[in-house]
Amino acid sequence: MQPFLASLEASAVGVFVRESMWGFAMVAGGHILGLVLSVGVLAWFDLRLLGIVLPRVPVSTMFRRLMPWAFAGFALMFGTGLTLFVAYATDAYPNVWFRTKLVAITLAGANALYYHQFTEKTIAQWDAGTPPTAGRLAGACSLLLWVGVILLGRGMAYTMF
Amino acid sequence: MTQGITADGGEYLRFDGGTTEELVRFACSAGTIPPVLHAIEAARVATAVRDSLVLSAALSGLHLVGMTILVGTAIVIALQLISRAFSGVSNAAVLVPASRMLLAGLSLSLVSGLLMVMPRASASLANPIFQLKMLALVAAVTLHIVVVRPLSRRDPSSTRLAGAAQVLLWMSVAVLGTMFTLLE
Repeated sequence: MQPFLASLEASAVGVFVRESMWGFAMVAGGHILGLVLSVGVLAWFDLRLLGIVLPRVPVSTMFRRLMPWAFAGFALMFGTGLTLFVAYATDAYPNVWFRTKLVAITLAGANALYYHQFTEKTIAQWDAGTPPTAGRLAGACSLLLWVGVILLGRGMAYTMF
Repeated sequence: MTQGITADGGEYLRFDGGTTEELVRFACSAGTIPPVLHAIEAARVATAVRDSLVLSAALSGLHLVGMTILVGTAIVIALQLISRAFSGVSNAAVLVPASRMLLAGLSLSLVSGLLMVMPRASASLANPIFQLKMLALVAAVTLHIVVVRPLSRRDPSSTRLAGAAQVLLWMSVAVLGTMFTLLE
């Protein structure tokens, strides 16, 4: 694994991020902005699932209006995150904060997938009202997991740089 | 600390190493840090933050969570004020919970931000990016209180500019904050 990680770091992208004057600031800045955009907007959708905000707006409307912004943010966050990993692969790979963060992201993804594959199938029955327990649970899990991802990401930054 | 006379007859003070607290005391006695900022930097809570990696990381994380709430809420407000994205509900139905969310995000960001800045108050206050961030923050809060919040009963054609301005200002706060952290 170590030679592969070292080859990632030695790639043109890795060298650019580590050694150019603005490389790290631009990529890390994009990562944080992608995060505040995607998770910030997603939080409103999660709070709607919990019935805390905009209870009179259908869940499907919230999803349609908010998700393009969340997806744009996620694309920026994952693209820059991958670039940062390439640049600091050997330090990031064994970092316990990084590994826990990946677990939290995977769980958040699985939670979203479960919601869309199963819970959302019955949306016609509760779109304009309060979601069932599974929907509220999906909202709560998403909120907790993404806050966890943010905190773990900061832990990673403080132990690596 | 060593005091002496330079070759051309001027006086000098030299810091001979020591703890960060001693360095701050030295910088104050040398006149490079105003006494008020020295008191802030030397406060027990500031020292605790400076000396603890875990505390610093936790505060930074909470600051980012607060900033995430602020930016997400600013986008929701903009979507409603610019295009009535959440059809079927009034502007008030969006602005009332959004104002509460802004208050929650702002409280979290302000408290954590204050604690993070305390150990390096003099350097932060002298930083032009930090100064711009504070300016954008004051402008964003003022715009929300004076213009955005009272827009509850107006139609979207007259609220577009306010919606766009507020989201740009809150995004500026986030961008400047990120630049301040990364370029410091």
